[in-house]
Amino acid sequence: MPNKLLNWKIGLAVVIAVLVLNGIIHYTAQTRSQVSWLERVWRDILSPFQTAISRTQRFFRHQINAVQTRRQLQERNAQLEALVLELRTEVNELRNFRRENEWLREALDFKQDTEHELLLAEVIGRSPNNWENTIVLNRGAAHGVTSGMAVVTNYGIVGTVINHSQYTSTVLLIVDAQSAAGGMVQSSGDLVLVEGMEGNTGMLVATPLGRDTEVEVGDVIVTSGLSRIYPKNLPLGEVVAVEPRQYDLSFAALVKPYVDHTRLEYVLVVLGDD
Amino acid sequence: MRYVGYGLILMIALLIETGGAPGLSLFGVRPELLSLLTMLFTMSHGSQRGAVFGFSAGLMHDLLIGRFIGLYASVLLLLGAAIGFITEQLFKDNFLVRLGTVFAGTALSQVLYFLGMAAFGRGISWLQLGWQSVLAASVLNTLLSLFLYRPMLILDKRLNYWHELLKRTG
Repeated sequence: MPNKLLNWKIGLAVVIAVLVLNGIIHYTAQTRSQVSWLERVWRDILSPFQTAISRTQRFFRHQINAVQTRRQLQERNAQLEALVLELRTEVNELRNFRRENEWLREALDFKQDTEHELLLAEVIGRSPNNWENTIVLNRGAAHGVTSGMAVVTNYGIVGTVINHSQYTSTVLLIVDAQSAAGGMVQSSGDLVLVEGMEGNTGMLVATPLGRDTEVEVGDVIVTSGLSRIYPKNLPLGEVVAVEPRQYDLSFAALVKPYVDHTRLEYVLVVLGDD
Repeated sequence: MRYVGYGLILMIALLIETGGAPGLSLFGVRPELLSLLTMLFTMSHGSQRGAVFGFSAGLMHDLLIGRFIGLYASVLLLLGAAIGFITEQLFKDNFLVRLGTVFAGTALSQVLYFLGMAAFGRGISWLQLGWQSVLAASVLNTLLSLFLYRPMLILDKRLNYWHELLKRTG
């Protein structure tokens, strides 16, 4: 009898736990502007480590690049190996600095040109799973970042802040299948809906909003500014293919984004209008 | 002491996962370290403790992502329980059985997570499941298990030793 009572109690506890867990998953499946204190604390604990790992990884990547270049030089000229090795390493380091410098310079120009207030942020992490295209920035509520803010680079749209802690924020990339933005064909001004493509392809799909919309390969798609998230006229990408839909009534255009979402190091958060 | 040690191992794994670990990717897919650790832990501790370990690992992951909180925790809980049950029936020290279990377990956890996301409104269908991603992650985890199984056992023994030592000395 006591055994039966114990089994019954365990069964009830399991059912309640499953229901509560279901509720939490369902609630957090929606996009939330505020995260719980537990998530905030957890992320803020991890963020310095994420920053350290991200920087270490970058350092090693640069070193690996330098070593690869070094190997090529050894094969080409054995006699000048030592000298070339030294010079090449130095050149590589300088290239890295120049690339970073150029990016930051362009970002600064872009920041001065635009009418929006922008915040420079460093990418310190990526989605830990293979199903979601998100990045983590080292800027959060303490720096004025809130959910729903657009994230861009001087090449175009990166994504939207979906949640944030005090010192970090998570950005859903525009190439994620759950992302969508209002777009416009630059040459004709026709409106299209731009969405991320399923299957981690890094591509976008543009579908027409109007009946007479025409899109050709090579057309540039920019933001329409109608969604109020992304500023108007920022480049989204270039049409690389147009595929007709059923009965040729509509089409879907495959858009290659200008931003390489796999190599993001720094981005700009659009804080709002000046 | 033991629990702090396991917590640190999971935290490091999570940081490596979020850090990208570019050198570890196969066809752009990264290994699923948390599910791998759950399986390796379960193989030496049984299904009950494996399920608790898996749930904790999944919860850490979910809280960091901030979406579908509890989903990955549930998936890894089920994975821990299932792997524990299976390895109790099989000869777990057999090298090939271990590899096969890790491969199948990784694939199972990936599919379950995908189905969970679809069920909770991700707006995707079963047909969109990237089988290449599932396969690549499973292969990567299987390869990694070759290098991580022994160190995990040694680490586990050390943690137990320190735990007992601290308990005795108070």
